[in-house]
Amino acid sequence: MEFILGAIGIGIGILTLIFFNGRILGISGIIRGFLQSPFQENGWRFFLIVGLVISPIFYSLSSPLPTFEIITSPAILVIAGFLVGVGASLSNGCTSGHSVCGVSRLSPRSIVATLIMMATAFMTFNLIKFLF
Amino acid sequence: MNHLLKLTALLSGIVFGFGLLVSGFYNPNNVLAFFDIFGDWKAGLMITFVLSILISAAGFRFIKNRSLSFTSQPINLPDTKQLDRKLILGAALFGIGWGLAGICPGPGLVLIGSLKAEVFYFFAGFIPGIFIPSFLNRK
Repeated sequence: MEFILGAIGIGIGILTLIFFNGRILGISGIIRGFLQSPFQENGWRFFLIVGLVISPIFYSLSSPLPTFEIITSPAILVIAGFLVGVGASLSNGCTSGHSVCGVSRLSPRSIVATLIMMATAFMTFNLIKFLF
Repeated sequence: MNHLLKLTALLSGIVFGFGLLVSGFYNPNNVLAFFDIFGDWKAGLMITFVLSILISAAGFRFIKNRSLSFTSQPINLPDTKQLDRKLILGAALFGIGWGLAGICPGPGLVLIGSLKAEVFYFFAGFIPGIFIPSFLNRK
Protein backbone atom coordinates (compact mmCIF):
# COMPACT_ATOMS: atom_id res chain seq x y z
CA MET A 1 0.00 0.00 0.00
CA GLU A 2 2.76 2.44 0.92
CA PHE A 3 4.35 1.81 -2.49
CA ILE A 4 1.10 2.79 -4.24
CA LEU A 5 0.49 5.83 -2.04
CA GLY A 6 4.09 6.92 -2.61
CA ALA A 7 3.66 6.68 -6.38
CA ILE A 8 0.52 8.83 -6.20
CA GLY A 9 2.50 11.50 -4.30
CA ILE A 10 5.37 11.40 -6.78
CA GLY A 11 2.95 11.54 -9.74
CA ILE A 12 0.84 14.40 -8.37
CA GLY A 13 3.98 16.36 -7.46
CA ILE A 14 5.24 16.05 -11.04
CA LEU A 15 1.86 16.93 -12.57
CA THR A 16 1.37 19.96 -10.30
CA LEU A 17 4.61 21.44 -11.60
CA ILE A 18 3.90 20.79 -15.29
CA PHE A 19 0.19 21.79 -15.13
CA PHE A 20 0.74 25.05 -13.29
CA ASN A 21 4.36 26.08 -13.79
CA GLY A 22 4.85 24.39 -17.17
CA ARG A 23 8.05 22.80 -15.91
CA ILE A 24 9.46 19.30 -15.80
CA LEU A 25 10.25 18.11 -12.28
CA GLY A 26 13.90 17.18 -12.71
CA ILE A 27 15.68 17.61 -9.41
CA SER A 28 19.30 17.75 -10.55
CA GLY A 29 18.54 20.37 -13.19
CA ILE A 30 16.50 22.35 -10.66
CA ILE A 31 19.37 22.31 -8.13
CA ARG A 32 21.86 23.40 -10.81
CA GLY A 33 19.54 26.17 -12.05
CA PHE A 34 18.91 27.32 -8.50
CA LEU A 35 22.62 27.53 -7.66
CA GLN A 36 23.38 29.44 -10.86
CA SER A 37 20.61 31.98 -10.45
CA PRO A 38 18.55 31.37 -7.30
CA PHE A 39 15.51 33.59 -7.81
CA GLN A 40 15.04 33.84 -11.55
CA GLU A 41 11.64 33.08 -13.12
CA ASN A 42 9.60 33.73 -9.98
CA GLY A 43 12.04 31.70 -7.92
CA TRP A 44 10.04 28.53 -8.61
CA ARG A 45 13.20 26.41 -8.18
CA PHE A 46 13.79 27.86 -4.72
CA PHE A 47 10.20 27.14 -3.62
CA LEU A 48 10.26 23.62 -5.01
CA ILE A 49 13.48 22.85 -3.14
CA VAL A 50 12.03 24.33 0.06
CA GLY A 51 8.94 22.13 -0.42
CA LEU A 52 11.07 19.00 -0.68
CA VAL A 53 13.20 19.93 2.32
CA ILE A 54 10.17 20.63 4.54
CA SER A 55 8.11 17.66 3.31
CA PRO A 56 9.17 15.51 6.32
CA ILE A 57 7.40 18.02 8.60
CA PHE A 58 4.09 17.33 6.84
CA TYR A 59 4.75 13.61 6.82
CA SER A 60 5.41 13.62 10.56
CA LEU A 61 1.94 15.11 11.16
CA SER A 62 0.40 11.85 9.93
CA SER A 63 2.89 9.30 11.22
CA PRO A 64 6.25 9.34 13.00
CA LEU A 65 9.32 9.62 10.79
CA PRO A 66 11.18 6.32 10.74
CA THR A 67 14.78 6.47 11.89
CA PHE A 68 17.60 4.73 10.07
CA GLU A 69 21.36 4.78 9.71
CA ILE A 70 23.33 5.56 6.57
CA ILE A 71 26.08 2.97 6.68
CA THR A 72 28.13 4.21 3.71
CA SER A 73 31.50 5.73 4.73
CA PRO A 74 32.08 9.50 4.32
CA ALA A 75 34.66 9.08 1.54
CA ILE A 76 32.36 6.82 -0.49
CA LEU A 77 29.46 9.24 0.05
CA VAL A 78 31.49 12.14 -1.37
CA ILE A 79 32.55 10.01 -4.36
CA ALA A 80 28.97 8.75 -4.86
CA GLY A 81 27.63 12.32 -4.72
CA PHE A 82 30.27 13.50 -7.17
CA LEU A 83 29.49 10.72 -9.69
CA VAL A 84 25.74 11.33 -9.35
CA GLY A 85 26.33 15.07 -9.89
CA VAL A 86 28.63 14.75 -12.90
CA GLY A 87 26.45 12.02 -14.40
CA ALA A 88 23.14 13.85 -13.98
CA SER A 89 24.66 17.02 -15.40
CA LEU A 90 26.23 15.27 -18.42
CA SER A 91 23.08 13.32 -19.29
CA ASN A 92 20.81 16.27 -18.40
CA GLY A 93 18.65 14.41 -15.92
CA CYS A 94 18.44 12.02 -13.02
CA THR A 95 15.88 9.66 -11.51
CA SER A 96 13.09 12.24 -11.50
CA GLY A 97 13.72 13.97 -14.83
CA HIS A 98 14.73 10.96 -16.93
CA SER A 99 13.37 7.88 -15.18
CA VAL A 100 9.92 9.17 -14.23
CA CYS A 101 9.11 12.27 -16.33
CA GLY A 102 11.11 11.32 -19.43
CA VAL A 103 10.07 7.67 -19.53
CA SER A 104 6.41 8.64 -19.02
CA ARG A 105 6.69 10.91 -22.10
CA LEU A 106 8.39 8.04 -23.99
CA SER A 107 11.46 10.18 -24.66
CA PRO A 108 14.05 7.91 -26.33
CA ARG A 109 16.90 9.71 -24.52
CA SER A 110 15.28 9.16 -21.12
CA ILE A 111 14.49 5.51 -21.81
CA VAL A 112 18.12 4.84 -22.81
CA ALA A 113 19.43 6.85 -19.82
CA THR A 114 17.14 4.98 -17.40
CA LEU A 115 18.17 1.55 -18.66
CA ILE A 116 21.86 2.47 -18.33
CA MET A 117 21.40 4.10 -14.90
CA MET A 118 19.53 1.07 -13.56
CA ALA A 119 21.94 -1.45 -15.07
CA THR A 120 25.07 0.30 -13.75
CA ALA A 121 23.52 0.86 -10.31
CA PHE A 122 22.55 -2.83 -10.01
CA MET A 123 26.01 -3.89 -11.23
CA THR A 124 27.89 -1.50 -8.92
CA PHE A 125 25.94 -2.55 -5.85
CA ASN A 126 26.33 -6.27 -6.55
CA LEU A 127 29.99 -6.00 -7.54
CA ILE A 128 30.80 -4.25 -4.27
CA LYS A 129 28.77 -6.75 -2.30
CA PHE A 130 30.60 -9.59 -4.06
CA LEU A 131 34.04 -8.07 -3.48
CA PHE A 132 33.69 -7.00 0.15
CA MET B 1 0.02 35.20 -10.65
CA ASN B 2 3.62 35.35 -9.50
CA HIS B 3 2.62 34.26 -6.02
CA LEU B 4 0.45 31.44 -7.33
CA LEU B 5 3.43 30.00 -9.22
CA LYS B 6 5.54 30.11 -6.06
CA LEU B 7 2.79 28.31 -4.16
CA THR B 8 2.35 25.60 -6.81
CA ALA B 9 6.12 25.01 -6.91
CA LEU B 10 6.17 24.73 -3.12
CA LEU B 11 3.20 22.33 -3.14
CA SER B 12 4.78 20.27 -5.90
CA GLY B 13 7.92 19.87 -3.77
CA ILE B 14 5.96 18.96 -0.65
CA VAL B 15 3.76 16.38 -2.41
CA PHE B 16 6.67 14.88 -4.35
CA GLY B 17 8.72 14.68 -1.14
CA PHE B 18 5.74 13.12 0.64
CA GLY B 19 5.66 10.43 -2.07
CA LEU B 20 9.37 9.72 -1.57
CA LEU B 21 8.80 9.45 2.18
CA VAL B 22 5.70 7.24 2.06
CA SER B 23 7.20 4.82 -0.47
CA GLY B 24 10.46 4.63 1.49
CA PHE B 25 12.43 5.79 -1.56
CA TYR B 26 14.05 8.52 0.57
CA ASN B 27 15.80 5.89 2.72
CA PRO B 28 19.09 4.83 1.07
CA ASN B 29 18.89 1.43 2.78
CA ASN B 30 15.62 0.69 0.95
CA VAL B 31 17.15 1.73 -2.37
CA LEU B 32 20.20 -0.48 -1.78
CA ALA B 33 17.88 -3.39 -0.85
CA PHE B 34 16.13 -2.74 -4.19
CA PHE B 35 19.51 -3.21 -5.94
CA ASP B 36 20.18 -6.43 -4.01
CA ILE B 37 18.61 -8.75 -6.60
CA PHE B 38 20.77 -11.76 -5.71
CA GLY B 39 20.27 -11.36 -1.97
CA ASP B 40 17.31 -10.30 0.13
CA TRP B 41 15.67 -8.42 -2.75
CA LYS B 42 13.07 -5.82 -1.82
CA ALA B 43 11.29 -5.27 -5.12
CA GLY B 44 8.49 -3.05 -3.77
CA LEU B 45 10.01 0.19 -5.07
CA MET B 46 9.45 -1.19 -8.57
CA ILE B 47 5.69 -0.79 -7.94
CA THR B 48 6.27 2.86 -6.96
CA PHE B 49 8.47 3.45 -9.97
CA VAL B 50 6.10 1.91 -12.55
CA LEU B 51 2.95 3.43 -11.07
CA SER B 52 4.46 6.93 -10.83
CA ILE B 53 5.42 6.64 -14.51
CA LEU B 54 1.84 5.63 -15.43
CA ILE B 55 0.30 8.52 -13.45
CA SER B 56 2.73 11.00 -15.03
CA ALA B 57 2.10 9.53 -18.49
CA ALA B 58 -1.65 10.15 -18.13
CA GLY B 59 -0.97 13.76 -17.12
CA PHE B 60 1.57 14.46 -19.84
CA ARG B 61 -0.86 13.01 -22.40
CA PHE B 62 -3.50 15.40 -21.12
CA ILE B 63 -1.33 18.48 -21.69
CA LYS B 64 0.32 17.19 -24.88
CA ASN B 65 -1.52 19.51 -27.23
CA ARG B 66 -1.52 22.54 -24.99
CA SER B 67 1.19 25.15 -25.31
CA LEU B 68 0.30 26.98 -22.09
CA SER B 69 -0.16 25.73 -18.54
CA PHE B 70 -3.33 26.37 -16.46
CA THR B 71 -1.70 29.62 -15.36
CA SER B 72 -0.74 30.61 -18.94
CA GLN B 73 2.92 29.75 -18.49
CA PRO B 74 4.73 28.33 -21.51
CA ILE B 75 5.08 24.55 -21.18
CA ASN B 76 8.75 23.64 -21.38
CA LEU B 77 9.21 20.10 -22.65
CA PRO B 78 12.67 19.05 -23.79
CA ASP B 79 12.56 17.80 -27.37
CA THR B 80 16.16 16.67 -27.89
CA LYS B 81 16.14 13.33 -29.65
CA GLN B 82 19.86 12.77 -30.07
CA LEU B 83 21.39 9.78 -28.28
CA ASP B 84 24.94 11.02 -27.81
CA ARG B 85 28.02 9.95 -25.91
CA LYS B 86 27.37 12.48 -23.15
CA LEU B 87 23.98 10.93 -22.39
CA ILE B 88 25.37 7.41 -22.19
CA LEU B 89 28.51 8.29 -20.21
CA GLY B 90 26.49 10.52 -17.87
CA ALA B 91 23.86 7.86 -17.18
CA ALA B 92 26.58 5.29 -16.47
CA LEU B 93 28.42 7.58 -14.01
CA PHE B 94 25.12 8.42 -12.35
CA GLY B 95 24.29 4.73 -11.97
CA ILE B 96 27.68 3.95 -10.41
CA GLY B 97 27.23 6.73 -7.84
CA TRP B 98 23.62 5.69 -7.15
CA GLY B 99 24.68 2.06 -6.71
CA LEU B 100 27.41 3.09 -4.26
CA ALA B 101 25.23 4.94 -1.76
CA GLY B 102 21.58 4.52 -2.78
CA ILE B 103 21.06 8.30 -2.78
CA CYS B 104 19.85 10.34 -5.74
CA PRO B 105 19.20 14.11 -5.69
CA GLY B 106 15.45 14.13 -4.79
CA PRO B 107 15.73 11.87 -1.74
CA GLY B 108 18.94 13.75 -0.88
CA LEU B 109 16.95 16.99 -0.50
CA VAL B 110 14.27 15.23 1.57
CA LEU B 111 17.04 13.93 3.86
CA ILE B 112 18.57 17.38 4.48
CA GLY B 113 16.19 18.07 7.36
CA SER B 114 17.45 14.96 9.16
CA LEU B 115 20.74 16.88 9.56
CA LYS B 116 22.63 13.63 9.21
CA ALA B 117 26.29 14.32 8.40
CA GLU B 118 26.13 11.64 5.69
CA VAL B 119 23.68 13.70 3.65
CA PHE B 120 26.10 16.64 3.61
CA TYR B 121 28.97 14.40 2.49
CA PHE B 122 26.78 13.40 -0.45
CA PHE B 123 26.08 17.03 -1.39
CA ALA B 124 29.75 17.97 -0.89
CA GLY B 125 30.42 15.67 -3.86
CA PHE B 126 27.21 16.37 -5.77
CA ILE B 127 27.38 20.18 -5.98
CA PRO B 128 30.88 20.46 -7.51
CA GLY B 129 29.95 17.47 -9.68
CA ILE B 130 26.99 19.15 -11.42
CA PHE B 131 29.20 22.08 -12.49
CA ILE B 132 32.10 20.01 -13.85
CA PRO B 133 30.63 19.32 -17.33
CA SER B 134 29.87 22.98 -18.11
CA PHE B 135 33.23 24.02 -16.65
CA LEU B 136 35.11 21.60 -18.90
CA ASN B 137 33.02 22.70 -21.89
CA ARG B 138 34.03 26.30 -21.42
CA LYS B 139 37.69 25.53 -22.01
